[in-house]
Amino acid sequence: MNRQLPSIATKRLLQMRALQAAAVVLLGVVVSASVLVGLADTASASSCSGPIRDGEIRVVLVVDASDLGGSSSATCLVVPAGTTGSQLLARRGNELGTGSPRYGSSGLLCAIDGLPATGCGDRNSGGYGYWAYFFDGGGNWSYGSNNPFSKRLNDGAIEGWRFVVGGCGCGLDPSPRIGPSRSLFPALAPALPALPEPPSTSAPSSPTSNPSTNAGGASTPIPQSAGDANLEQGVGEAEPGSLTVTTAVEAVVVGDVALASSNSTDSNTGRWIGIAAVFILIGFMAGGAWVQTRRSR
Amino acid sequence: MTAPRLLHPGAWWLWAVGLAACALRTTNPVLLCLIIAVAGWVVASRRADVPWSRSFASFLRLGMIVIAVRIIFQIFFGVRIPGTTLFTIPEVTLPDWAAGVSLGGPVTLESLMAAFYQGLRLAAVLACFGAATSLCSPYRMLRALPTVLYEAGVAVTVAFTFAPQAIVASRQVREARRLRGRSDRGVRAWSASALPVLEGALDRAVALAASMDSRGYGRRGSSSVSVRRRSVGLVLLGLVAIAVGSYGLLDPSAPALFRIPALGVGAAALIGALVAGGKSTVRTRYRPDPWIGPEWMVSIAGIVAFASFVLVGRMGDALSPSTNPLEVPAVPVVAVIGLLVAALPAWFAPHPPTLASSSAPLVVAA
Repeated sequence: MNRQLPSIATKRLLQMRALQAAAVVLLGVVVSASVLVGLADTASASSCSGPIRDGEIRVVLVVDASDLGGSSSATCLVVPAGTTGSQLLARRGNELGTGSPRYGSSGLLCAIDGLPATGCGDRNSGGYGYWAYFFDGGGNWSYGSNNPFSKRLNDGAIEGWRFVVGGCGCGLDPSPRIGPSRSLFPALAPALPALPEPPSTSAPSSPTSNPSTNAGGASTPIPQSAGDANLEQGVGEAEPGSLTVTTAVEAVVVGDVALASSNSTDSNTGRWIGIAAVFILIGFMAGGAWVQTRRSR
Repeated sequence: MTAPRLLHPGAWWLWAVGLAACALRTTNPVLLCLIIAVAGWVVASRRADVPWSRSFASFLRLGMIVIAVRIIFQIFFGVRIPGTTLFTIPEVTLPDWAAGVSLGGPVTLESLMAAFYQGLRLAAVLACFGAATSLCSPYRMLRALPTVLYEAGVAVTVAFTFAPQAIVASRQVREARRLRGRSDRGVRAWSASALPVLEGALDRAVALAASMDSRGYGRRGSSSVSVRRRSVGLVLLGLVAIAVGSYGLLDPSAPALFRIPALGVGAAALIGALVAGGKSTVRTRYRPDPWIGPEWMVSIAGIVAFASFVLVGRMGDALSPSTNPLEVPAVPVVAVIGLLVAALPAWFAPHPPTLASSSAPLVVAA
């Protein structure tokens, strides 16, 4: 019986050490995360009306926030082939200066352009209020059950997001008020003879060859990845009269809502001090517990 | 300081449930680590020298396994959450009908942090229950159960004593392996001892249930059939309603009907069953555990911690720090103070009697 006592005490010590190690690892992860979050920057732009470089695709992103008091807009963007739906959203927010979309911890998209300011897919008026995802199903919107984070876009793809109020979370929910029309794409500049990229074949290969492309779409470690917020021109004839189509300039108004992460550096210092204080407390408790455990044997 | 004695097990359980409810309300890693530390500190200060008092370490180990499993599952099968990609694992494109499921793909820092927070929350809940298991004797807990629950007899006994019995059994099996000159570490040793441990624990729990039965627990007494049926029905209704109600209380997103109303219905049904069935039960108590000052203090400490978390939850979203975009978790002072109150039993609860100083039976043989 006596012989195993030191080993149990050592085990307990190891346990406490493991706890402390976990705390240190956590701290390290949070530090590196906050550094990485601060790395978002801008990209060199190439216009949606051309010329398009090799390995780039043109896609249109329709965002309809009318039910939130916002507006509906269609944005044509030039992105690297193989861009995912969520990267496209992040790129759009970056280009328009409206901030990155907000996601819940489960990965559910909560807010685009800072709308809605709070909540995430909450129940309201007999259903869910959420951002529904649509894709172009040959001139009509198709309700997308895809994960925007894993769905890769092809050249000429049209993606739609509409905030649905009281929706069922199913294919019956209303689609964006701007239809997925070809006229959302501006005419390519005549300087470019033809689109160099084959649309669908080049799409899946790109992200594996340079994985850093996936960095949220917002941070751009690769110089050749380029995009442009070139608002479409032809919406006037593509949609029924009631809806409003905004330009990038108007969309910037909402920008300060979602940019909270960039100006939070001041409050972070206070948070770090609080975290350090709590972990000193935890260290005392763990040390005290270990001492007591050893003394009681 | 009061004389050394064992606290009423209900007090420790209330305290632990209060802490666990705090853990369920938050994903803030700082607060979760503090909850684990508070539980460990109190256990180290106030546990008795009995076999099951070492179960806290086992629960901590289990918690670490839970965190690891949660993160591994997130990496391979988790929902692909956008953000800062750390690395990419090969992606399996599933057919359209399975578009909601993802296998492989880019692994982001945000998704890993979210998984870590959730795993840590579960680990904290496990630590709270490990604390309750180490701090009070499972047999005393059974003695303190209200009369109506004896109808559930064997099931309750087995459920309440299985975890501590498993820990005792695992120590014995490991010791036996060591005596035979085999290793008690590593995966092979674990897999070889899993079956004897489970079997031994179940055997002990069933033996306890049988011995309790032979001593008159769960007897019907001289009540008529209709009275018995009424009380059993009320017990069932009450237990289900209380289970639903406590779920609703712990999960902030549950409908309002599942919270206080369900708890009220459950309590009313149980009290009704107590009144209907309590009279007919023939049972005496040998040296009942008192519920006096220290018991009130320990249980109130747990309730205060829970109340502080509810308060913080009302005031803002410091309890669930955003992982997308990642933010430095805020440390709500009120919640920290509440948890420090929950650590007070480490000083104010009476010491457990040691084997040398006490005439009271510490270990009740099954």
